[in-house]
Amino acid sequence: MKTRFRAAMAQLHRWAGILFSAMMFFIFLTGTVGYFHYEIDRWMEPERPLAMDRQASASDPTQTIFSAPSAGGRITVTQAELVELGFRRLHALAIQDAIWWGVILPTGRNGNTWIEWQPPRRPDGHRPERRAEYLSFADGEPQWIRPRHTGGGEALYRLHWKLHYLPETAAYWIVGLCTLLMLVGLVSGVIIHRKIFRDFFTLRLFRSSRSWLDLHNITSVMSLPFQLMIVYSGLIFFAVTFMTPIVTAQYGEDGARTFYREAFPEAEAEPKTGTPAHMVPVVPLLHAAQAETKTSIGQLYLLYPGDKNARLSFYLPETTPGHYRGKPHKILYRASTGERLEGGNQLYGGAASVEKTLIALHEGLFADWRLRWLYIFSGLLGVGMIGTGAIYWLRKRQARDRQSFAAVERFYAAVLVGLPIGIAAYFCANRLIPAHWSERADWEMHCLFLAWMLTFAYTWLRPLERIWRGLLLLAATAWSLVPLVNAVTSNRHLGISLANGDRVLAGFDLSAIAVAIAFGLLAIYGYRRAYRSNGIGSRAVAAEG
Amino acid sequence: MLSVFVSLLFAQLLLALSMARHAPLTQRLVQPAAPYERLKRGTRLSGFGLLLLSLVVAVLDSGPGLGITWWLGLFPLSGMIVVILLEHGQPRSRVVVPGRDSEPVSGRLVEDCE
Repeated sequence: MKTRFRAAMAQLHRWAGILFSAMMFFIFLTGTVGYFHYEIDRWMEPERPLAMDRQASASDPTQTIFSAPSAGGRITVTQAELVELGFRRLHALAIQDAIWWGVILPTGRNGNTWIEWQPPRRPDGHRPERRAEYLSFADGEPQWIRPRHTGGGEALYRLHWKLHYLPETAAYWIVGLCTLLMLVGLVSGVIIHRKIFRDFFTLRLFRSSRSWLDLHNITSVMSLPFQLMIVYSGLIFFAVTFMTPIVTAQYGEDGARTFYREAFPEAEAEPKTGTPAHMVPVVPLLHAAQAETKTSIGQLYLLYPGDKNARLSFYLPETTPGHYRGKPHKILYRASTGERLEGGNQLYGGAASVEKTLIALHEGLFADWRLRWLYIFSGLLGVGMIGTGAIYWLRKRQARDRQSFAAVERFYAAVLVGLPIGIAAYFCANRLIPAHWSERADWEMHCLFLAWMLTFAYTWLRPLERIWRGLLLLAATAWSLVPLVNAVTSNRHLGISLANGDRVLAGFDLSAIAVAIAFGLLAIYGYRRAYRSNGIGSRAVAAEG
Repeated sequence: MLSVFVSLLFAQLLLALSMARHAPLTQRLVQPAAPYERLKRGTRLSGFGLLLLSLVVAVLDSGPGLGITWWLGLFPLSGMIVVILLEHGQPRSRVVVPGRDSEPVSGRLVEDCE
């Protein structure tokens, strides 16, 4: 009885650790993909026009011009013309009950001009999703396009803290707890690794049984500052969730809003009056704001459109992680009179500034494309750290007891290679599910999890010695299908995107091809070498044989 | 940032070459042969100096917040390049730490298992 109980506890202990590492792998991979969520959004909305080029004037931001691809060659438009087109369209749509309107100008990441608005809450209190239309010059004349409904890059990015199917609070607690354990693991890992410097530049691929440990150490130590930053700042996100009783004790049961107002003071908008008023022309105000800040502004929002107290906010681009430290982040005007309003500066205290800086570092919104790729690279090192750590752990134990760890090996194979297959399925589903189906966004995500679940079935049904190679080949196939399905189902394929110099769309397809090649090489070359040097699978062969 | 990247690359290469693991390579690279301890001290000192210099250049170029972020992003990239280069250029013999590596050890330098 005692022995059975101890064995059950040992299984529980083992699987708790295995599930934790699988969860961290999921969080790291989906979080890393999220660094390109705007770019993924663009790819997943193929109805959106091709990217506009932006030529900014260094001395005078008002002279910024854009060129848009069209059937008759490129069309040049000024910043002022785009803003006027945007507000004209918003007026024409007559969505006066919207809470806010927005006009967004093209940047290197989003590539398009679009308008967006927030419909009011429904009587049941539900807040509808924001709506958007994109400006196209494809036929030479300005046209507004509503793209297909999709979860896009944002849904993929949100997976890493919302876990999709779980209630929000439960997901926060699970992700927060895993993050906390990860931080403990990182700090204790550095302490227990006595010879951290000795092993700093040591990598012995396909040479010894220590290759997995070398890989784990290298990926951990090289990206250690990034991992510490990302994990600690990730915890900061959950600070209020974890410490709700402290807020409640100080501010009462419904005091969260008061707490946020006091911790992160911002200019309070004057309430909506209900008295209609005309809006002054926006462009002169935009020019004044740009002259004042010497910055090119790309995001314009109008709160309470059509109201006497409507407020225009011109958002300044975030260029550094310390953006929030006392600098203005928006320039405000009263839309009915053009009066300049105070309050664009964030009056944060020290703790709030540190919090905002850490969150800015975590999200990396300030990063240009080069720094963004470094974020991706560091994130992938984190993914590699967890993956190689898991395989090393498995191999050490397989040396002792080969048969009893077959289930763990199947599980890890499905997690480590199955999740990328699921993500490829998500992208393919975006193109294959009918564009006008109302539930398509939900089904894109269901496809991700269904494909992932199928990889679990695959690992359980196939002989153990075949699962890694089979899954790697499946992953290579799935990722190579992404640009192919795109080419067959849309006119945003590589032939078009490369010819028009649309780097974001072309970059997405080329990245998918690169991932497919990487999985293919791992399946053919890497697996063979790992197999020969007594790597994964070979012990299992012996065990099953 | 290119200068930061290049100096980080060289800094980490020098630091790697000062490690005992890469002693055979370091000794092969320096001709005529110098006493290893002196060689190790020299490469390590220049490595750390270059590492510090790259951080200063990054901060001067982009300010403290963005500069340090860039530096921390370039650090693993250049480090991984160095590691892969060294792995690729590894001589057929290498240093094995007795008792830690899983292969049988007959001395400090053993032939590669392949």
